[in-house]
Amino acid sequence: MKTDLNKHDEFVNTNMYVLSIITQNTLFVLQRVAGMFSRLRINIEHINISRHSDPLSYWNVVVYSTDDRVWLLIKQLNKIIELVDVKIIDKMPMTSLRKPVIDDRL
Amino acid sequence: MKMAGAEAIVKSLVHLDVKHIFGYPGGAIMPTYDALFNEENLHHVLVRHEQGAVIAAEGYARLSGKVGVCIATSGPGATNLVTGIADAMLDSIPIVCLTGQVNSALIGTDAFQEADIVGMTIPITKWNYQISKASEIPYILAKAFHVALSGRHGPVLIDITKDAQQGEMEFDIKDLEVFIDHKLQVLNDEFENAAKLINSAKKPYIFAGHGVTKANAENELERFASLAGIPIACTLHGLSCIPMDHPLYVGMLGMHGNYGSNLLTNEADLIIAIGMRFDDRVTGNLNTYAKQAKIIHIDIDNVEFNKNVKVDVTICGDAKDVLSELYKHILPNNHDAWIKKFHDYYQEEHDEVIHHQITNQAGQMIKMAEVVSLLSEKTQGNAVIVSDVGQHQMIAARYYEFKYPRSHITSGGLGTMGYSLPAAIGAKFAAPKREVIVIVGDGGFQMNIQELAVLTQENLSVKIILLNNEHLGMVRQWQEMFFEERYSFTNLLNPDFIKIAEAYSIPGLHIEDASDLDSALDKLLNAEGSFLLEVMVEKQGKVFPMVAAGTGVGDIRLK
Repeated sequence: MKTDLNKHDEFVNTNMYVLSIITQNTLFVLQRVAGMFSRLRINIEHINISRHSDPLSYWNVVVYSTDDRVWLLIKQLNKIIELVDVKIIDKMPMTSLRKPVIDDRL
Repeated sequence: MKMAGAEAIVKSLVHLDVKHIFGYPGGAIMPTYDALFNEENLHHVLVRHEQGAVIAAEGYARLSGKVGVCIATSGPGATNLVTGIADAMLDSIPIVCLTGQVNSALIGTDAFQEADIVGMTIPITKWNYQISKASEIPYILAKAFHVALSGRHGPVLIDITKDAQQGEMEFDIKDLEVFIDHKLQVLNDEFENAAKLINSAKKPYIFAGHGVTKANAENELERFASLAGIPIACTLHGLSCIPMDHPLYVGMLGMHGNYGSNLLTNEADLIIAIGMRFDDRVTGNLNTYAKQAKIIHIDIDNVEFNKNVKVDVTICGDAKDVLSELYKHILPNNHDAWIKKFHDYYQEEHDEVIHHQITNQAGQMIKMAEVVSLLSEKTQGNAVIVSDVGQHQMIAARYYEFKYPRSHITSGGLGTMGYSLPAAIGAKFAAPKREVIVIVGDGGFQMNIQELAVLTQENLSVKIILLNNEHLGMVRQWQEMFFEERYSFTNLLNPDFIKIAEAYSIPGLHIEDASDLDSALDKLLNAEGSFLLEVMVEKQGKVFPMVAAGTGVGDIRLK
C-alpha cells in the first residue's frame, strides 16, 4: 500500500517541462546531452534539434519529471563543455494534463 | 616549426610540464611511441596492463596534485582503460588519457582494433575528444589539461587517429598557452549567513573531505577550526588532511568509520561539510540522517548541493579560498564539552573494538589491525599508505595514524580492486623521497599482480604488505552477517605469493605467527628496494563498527 501512495505523490509532483538547450554543433554532442537524461532516468518525450547559426544547435526537449530531478539534470547538463545554455521555458503540472487515477480504497 | 603530429603530442606534453607518462604501446599509437623514443624530458613507464597505466596516473595525480597522464593504443588498449577512468571520475582525479585510434578513413568500418572509445567514455569522463587532424593537437591537449584541473577535477580522454599522429603540422607554442587560470572564483556571497550559523552554534561539527586536500587547504582548515573550536571528522578521502593526533580530530565518517563521529552526526546542531559529497557510504539511510542539524555545504561543484542531503547554506568555491574568507567572519569560541562527547564515545569504541583488534592473545592468528597499528607506530605515521579495496582498506584507514597531508591513497567512489599496486607506482614517481607502502588483500593483489614487473624494471622501492586471509574478506563478512553464512565463492585457493615476487626479483617474507610480526615489519621497512611481506591473518575477522547498509548513522553497531 505504501508504494502505491508514493506513486501517487510522485504523480502529483510530476510536471511537464519544456527545456531549451543551446549546444555547439559537434560530433557526439547528442550522446553527451541525451546520455545525461538517461543517466538520471528521465525519459525524453519529445525532442527537436536544429542548427540555426553556424556553430550552434538549438534544442527543444519535453520531459515529465519532478523539480528536484530537473534541477539536478540542469546542473549536470551545465557541466558539458559543449553546452552553451540550458533553461526551462515552460512547466505544467501533470494533474492539469490528465486526471490522476487513484484507487479510493487507499 | 613544422613537425609530425606525434612529435607535437610529445612536445605539447613536455611544455605542459608532464614528467612521467604511464603507458603500453600498440599499433595505432606507434607513431607517438616513436616520437617518445628520443624525448629526454619525458619519462615513460611501461606497465603490463593498461589498467595499471591509468591507475598509476591516478596515484601520481593524487600525490603530486598535478595531472597524471597515461597512453594506450586503440581498441583493447583503450577499453582496458575504462575501469580506471570511471574510478578517476568518481574520485575526481585529474588525469588525461591519450589513446590511439585507427586511421580516420577507416573509422566506422570495424577496422582492426577499432573501438568507439569516445562514445564509450562519455558518461565517465569530464570531457573527451577525437583528434583527426594533426593541426588540432596542441590546442586540444592544452584544453584537456585545463578541463582536468579546472573546477572539480576529473578525467579527460583524447583519442588521436593514426593519420593525425602521422600528419604534418605547424607547431606553435602559443596554441598551448590559451588556457591559464585553473582557479574558480567564489561566486556566491553566503559568508555572512554561514558565519551567523557558526557563531551561534552550540554543537558545530566539521566534515572534511577530499576537497580539502585537493585545494591544499589543510592549513586553512586547521586555522578555521581552531579559532572556532570545532571538532573535525574526515571522510575516507579526507583522511590525513589533519594530523590524527590533533586535539580537534574526532574520527572517520562512514560505514566503517568511528563510533562517536557517526553517532554524533545526529546530535550536532550545525554541520559544516567541506569538499565532501554526502556519499551513501557516509550517510547511511538518508531518512534518519542529521535531521536536527543546520548544514553549511562548501564544495567546488554546485551539483553536489542538495543532491543527497538538503542543506541550509551553500558556498560554491575552492576550499582554500572559502575557508580563508570565512575565517574573517567567525568569532573565537570553544566547545570543549561537545568535543568531550566524541572522546567518551571513542573510549567506548576503544574498549569494545579497538583494544581487541590491536592486541594479540596467545594462540590467536594475527589480525589485520595489529599489522596496521604496528606499522603506524614503526613509521610514526610518516608513510604514504596506498590501500586496495575491502576489509584491509577499512582497517588501514581506521588504524594508521596519518600525520601529513596526501598520505592516504585508495579507491573510494568506485571501489576498484587491484588499485593499490599500480597507484603506488604512480605515487612513488610523484614523491620518490617518501616511503610508499601498499596494503593489499589476497584478492585485490591478484587483480593487478602483473605490475610487480614495473617495480623491477623501474627499480622502484615500494613496500607491499599482503594481508592474506584466503578470502574476499569484506564479501565474506557480509555473507556471514546478512546472507546466513552462505559463503558463496569467496574462498580463494592462492598461489605462493613469495615465489611470484621472487620470480620478479622482489624479495619476500611469509609470516603466520604473531611473534614474528615485529621483526618482519622491521625487515620490510629496512629493505633496500621493493619488498613483499605476506602476513597470514585470521579468516573470520570482521570490520567494526559498522553502519549496516540501509540503516542510519545512529544505528552504528560495535559488534
